[in-house]
Amino acid sequence: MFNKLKNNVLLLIIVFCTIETAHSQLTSSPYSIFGMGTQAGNCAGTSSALGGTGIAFLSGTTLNTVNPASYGGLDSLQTLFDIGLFAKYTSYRTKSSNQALFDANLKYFTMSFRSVPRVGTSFGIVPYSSVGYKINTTSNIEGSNSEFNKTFEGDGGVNKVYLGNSYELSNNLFLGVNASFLFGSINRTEASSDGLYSYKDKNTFSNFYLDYGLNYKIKGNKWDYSIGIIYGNGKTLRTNSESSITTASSFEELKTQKKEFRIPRNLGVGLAVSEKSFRAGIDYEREYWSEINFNQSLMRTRNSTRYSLGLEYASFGNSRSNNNIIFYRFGAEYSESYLIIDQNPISYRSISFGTGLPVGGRLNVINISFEIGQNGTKNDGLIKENFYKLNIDISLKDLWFMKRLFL
Amino acid sequence: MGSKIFFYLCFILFLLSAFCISCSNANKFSLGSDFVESQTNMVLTDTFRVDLSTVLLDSLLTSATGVALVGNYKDNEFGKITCTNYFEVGLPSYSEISEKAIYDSCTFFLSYSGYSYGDTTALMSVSIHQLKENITLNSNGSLYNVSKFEYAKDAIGSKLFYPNPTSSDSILRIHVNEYGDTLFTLFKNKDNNVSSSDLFLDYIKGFVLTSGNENNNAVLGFDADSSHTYFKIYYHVTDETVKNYVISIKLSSDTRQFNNIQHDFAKSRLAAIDSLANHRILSQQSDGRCYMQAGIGLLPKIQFPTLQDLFLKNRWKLLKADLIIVPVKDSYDRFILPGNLYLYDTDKHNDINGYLSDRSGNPVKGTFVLDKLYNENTSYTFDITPFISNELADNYFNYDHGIFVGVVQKKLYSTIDRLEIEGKAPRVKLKLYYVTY
Repeated sequence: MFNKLKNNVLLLIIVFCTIETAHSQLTSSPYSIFGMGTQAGNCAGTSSALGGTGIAFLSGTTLNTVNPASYGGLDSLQTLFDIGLFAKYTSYRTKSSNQALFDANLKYFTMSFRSVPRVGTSFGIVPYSSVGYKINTTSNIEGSNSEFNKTFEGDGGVNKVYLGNSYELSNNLFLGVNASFLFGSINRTEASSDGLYSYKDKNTFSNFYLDYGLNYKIKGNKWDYSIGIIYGNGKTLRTNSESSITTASSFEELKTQKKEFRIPRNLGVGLAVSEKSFRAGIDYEREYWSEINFNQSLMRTRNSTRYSLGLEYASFGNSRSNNNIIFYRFGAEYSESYLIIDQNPISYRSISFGTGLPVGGRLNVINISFEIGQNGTKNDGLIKENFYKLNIDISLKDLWFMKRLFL
Repeated sequence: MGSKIFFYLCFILFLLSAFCISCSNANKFSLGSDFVESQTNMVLTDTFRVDLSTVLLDSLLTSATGVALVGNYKDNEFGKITCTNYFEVGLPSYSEISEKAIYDSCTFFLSYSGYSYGDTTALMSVSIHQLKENITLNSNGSLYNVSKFEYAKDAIGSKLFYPNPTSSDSILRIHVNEYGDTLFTLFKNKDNNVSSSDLFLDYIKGFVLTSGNENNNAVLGFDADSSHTYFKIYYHVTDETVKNYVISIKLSSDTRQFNNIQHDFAKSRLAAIDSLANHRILSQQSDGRCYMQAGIGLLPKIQFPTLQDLFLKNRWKLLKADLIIVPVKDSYDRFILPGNLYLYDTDKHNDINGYLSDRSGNPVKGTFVLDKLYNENTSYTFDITPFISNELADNYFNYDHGIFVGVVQKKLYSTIDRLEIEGKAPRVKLKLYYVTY
């Protein structure tokens, strides 16, 4: 009885922390000043160790959130409870200078289980994009020869709360649908550093959103072959904009032009091969951002493309028990992001290594991965980011109260 | 068991990371300054007109300041200024005086307050006269620089001396032997006039300190209170031995102690002020300058006639308003300028409505900055943001709502400190910083 209560309390605290985190920044990047901020990418579960690969993979000991059809791979006896956090060290380089930042935070929280024999269900909260920057500059005081210090700050982002189901239509053919609620806010502040004034701009967004996925597996003698497809329809977000100016002696809400924020259509295809102790996959995904204009003079958008490759090897050790599998993972990603800044396309590349360690008890598996990558360019005074990122993704299982609720 | 510990460790790690959201040291980050698009601009303008004039107040409170000002000073800038101090003394407590008592002498004591004005190196004279009428307070319980009471032409004592004003513990003695004898006789004979405080006050009235010599060119400050301002009557009684006695007659009323300060602007640029409406002379009528002299209530008035034009602009907010006051070049070679100036709120009627205050309610102060090298930025700067923003708040700028420039209140009432403000280049400026968006 006490244990059940403790589990409930634990769960509540973690959910609370995740939602709390959803309002804080996941990014510190000057590039996040543009558009909707930096896209979170496929950061949940094992995909951070696999270069974001996952369209053709089914969920197993850890949930795969890349494709909703993957929930069909969930173990029928387990309830999974996934949480992830990261620590990231980024050095920013321009042609002339060099600075570094450290970030650490919670990323997401998901829960997944089989509700009825042929249906896998998952729900959770995952980031979609995030904004986090603080840029100190100087600006001329018009009518004088002097300058003043100005600070530009931005934070916030868009998060996704989803509930998804995967149906096994026929043997090895899964159809998944995620119903999501996208919500968030981006706050931008422009202020004189000595506090004489601050100009704030807050945009809040929300809307419902559907995305779909298919996964089909062809069983061979030794190798199984899978194909996955994901598709999400674009959506215009309901937006509310507020601006205000504050000085030491006054505060005024300003009339703002209605801004439009949209989530683009996306389409992705993935292929995978697997056998008992090895699987490999590739993803190709496109997001149609070029239809979306952010009205920022320095940037324009293009359709973004992601190429991912992921390899996973499972070592069963001496015993053949599922409880002792150790996973070794390798991934690589190359993405052409939706940003073109000052005529320079911004692209992202990374490689990652990871391992999944079995742990007894409630802890199902702990996935640790290390990612090295870069983003951006030094051309035209832009910034190149080199980052080192540690991801810790934990799967918990058998939170029994879930069974009370759903059985 | 081990896994349980691991689980809790992880859990603690989560909590730490969740609450350590600000694990980011973005504060000093400056990269990305090319990415920002400014929505706001800061603008400085100092082209708003500043109207200067000099106002002579009808009267200025000078009673109960604890300072006696005595002397006169004359120059071409401010004309002539004459200070006399009035005070009252009280019935001393004394024991019965023996028949055999013999009067010796009487001295009046004054202590330098440390304040002086003008040329204190020349020989100076101070005289003490007895009043012919009692000092009576004005209906509101005060006395002013223009208050005066009749006093005897002939001094009861005078002193010629070289002043020593900088040492505040030195004492000035004036011998009043003849007058002291008269008083001694009253006390010895138990005269009716010394039988009660009221009768004594009716008899003695009070005293005036004047600068007897017309050629003085300095004003001195003395402490005016019962422990520094008094007469001492010395006498002795001879029995088997000689015994010496003293009777002290001290300044008795702090409120009925005041300075009469008279001005004569003849031959100065201010000559016309007495005949002008509201005793106000525009800077254009006084060679572009305006004048401050404490003690007589001569105050520069500052007004902003064109500030209303700010309302023609769209989308702006006032950030800071600095008032810069420049003293007339070389005016500070002859006179030390006040180290700090204060601003007073005034209106159409030239009433003083208290200090201008800053955001936290403290009086706005301008500190003298001397530009020794080029003598160009010598000035006082005042942050008058609250004054300007309050005045702008109702979308109307009231021209009559002006500013007086003065010294701190205590000095305004108890000194004759001066300042000449330059109204031509380099002129008095209002620097407005505002943000547009």
